[in-house]
Amino acid sequence: MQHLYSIALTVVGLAGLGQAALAHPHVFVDGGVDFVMADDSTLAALSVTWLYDEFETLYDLSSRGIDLPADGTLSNADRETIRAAYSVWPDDFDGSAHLTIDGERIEMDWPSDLAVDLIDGRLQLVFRRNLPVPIDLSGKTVESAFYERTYFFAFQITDPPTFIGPSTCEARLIPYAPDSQSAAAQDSLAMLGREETPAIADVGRLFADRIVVACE
Amino acid sequence: MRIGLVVFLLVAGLWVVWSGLPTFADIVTWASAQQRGFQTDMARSVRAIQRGEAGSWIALVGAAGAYGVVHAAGPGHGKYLIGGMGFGSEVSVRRMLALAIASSLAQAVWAITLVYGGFWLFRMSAARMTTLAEDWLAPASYLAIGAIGAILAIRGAGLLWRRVRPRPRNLWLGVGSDHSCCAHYTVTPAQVAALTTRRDAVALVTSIAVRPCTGAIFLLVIAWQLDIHLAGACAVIAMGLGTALLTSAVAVSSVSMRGLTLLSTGRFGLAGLVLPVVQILAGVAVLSISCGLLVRALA
Repeated sequence: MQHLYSIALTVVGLAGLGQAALAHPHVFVDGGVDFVMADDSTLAALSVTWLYDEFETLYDLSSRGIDLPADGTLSNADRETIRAAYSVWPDDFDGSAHLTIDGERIEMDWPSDLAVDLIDGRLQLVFRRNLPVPIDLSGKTVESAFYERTYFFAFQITDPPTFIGPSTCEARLIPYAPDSQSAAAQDSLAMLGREETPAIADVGRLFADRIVVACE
Repeated sequence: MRIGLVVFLLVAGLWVVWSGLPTFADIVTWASAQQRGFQTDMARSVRAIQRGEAGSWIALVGAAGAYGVVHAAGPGHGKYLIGGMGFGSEVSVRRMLALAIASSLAQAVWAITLVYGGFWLFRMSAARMTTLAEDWLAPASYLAIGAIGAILAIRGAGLLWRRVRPRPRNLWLGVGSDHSCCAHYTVTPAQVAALTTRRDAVALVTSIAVRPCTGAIFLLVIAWQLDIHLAGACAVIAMGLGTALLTSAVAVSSVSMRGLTLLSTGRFGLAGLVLPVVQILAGVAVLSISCGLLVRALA
């Protein structure tokens, strides 16, 4: 009997140590997704906005040899340096604005039209992701979830979604709400080392803010 | 039997607390918000130092220390190694505390050496430095930690073997005075001898420290670029001390947990067998967690 107790203790103890607490992201990104329309109900592209947290902004600029300017604006040369750095996206880049139409994942083109700015000491990137072919959204279930797969970056929608161009559609923001699914994912995250990339596919999705679009 | 019951309740309580914890998603949100808050504090105090504002140094060191505590609450930072060691070996609380603090501080000093040294001596880029930490130092650390787990398990197995192997009867003394026959075995540190030498301690600290923490690297890159080297180094040391605070808590609780286990078994004369078993389990757990991380890091 005593053996059982101590073995149980050992197991609980080690489980507790392995999962001592909860994993968390390293980089915090605010922003949002706007919908670029070809006509009233046809989607041509997504316009994605990223606003880095202040610490990541300092790191991002420092790592490219740029001092954060005292007057809070970037010089054209600095802007170009950053634009150049962000013109090459990593192979596993997933764009952060995951689009599904009627439950089917829509692949989009690589980011284009990148605009770089500094807003209150925070780096802002705005870029566009074109759909290979514009899609009529009438009567379809359209959703864009704002997240990064591995959850190293925590994305949050802070800009309400808008339509660029003519539109008869409506967009509704559904903020992330803790539920049992994300609790289960958090369990898996907790088993990882602090710097690890989660092995479970698409873990970031479980913590995502979403936008649902409906067109008449 | 009463102690057994107490332990059983303790286990049940821990189990409830543990399995209940992750469903409190508010805690997740809270921890994340805390980290974000301290990260922003660090950024703002760095800019205040740049502008030469009074007190900004203290603000940076304070924010970095707090960040160290909050961030270390997440997995990693050698907590499971320290915990496994504290639980599975005969090391005193005081020594475990020293090891916990030494490993956190060594990790901070190594981060400073790596980033400042890399910039100064080799003119490395920040991106290359992060790659070095992620692609080389992290796997090296997992490998070293895994090896320590294996050694712990092997030592436990050896100890267990010595306890249970059939003993040759001493014909000269006769059965009655065979002192090695063992109902009232007590454990002595010399017998367990896990992790008590200086060499063991150095191995433990090194295996944790070899892999610098990402938050420290980020802060040091910023400090180098903005020419506030000393402030950056002090802040990273403070971050290490913050981390040490949390790791120390793990160290103390693991040693107490071992004490409880031995207490619950000791009076039945089983401690002599339980300790090696615990040591084996702790070693195997440390080894398997490290292997998992290593495989993932190399994938």
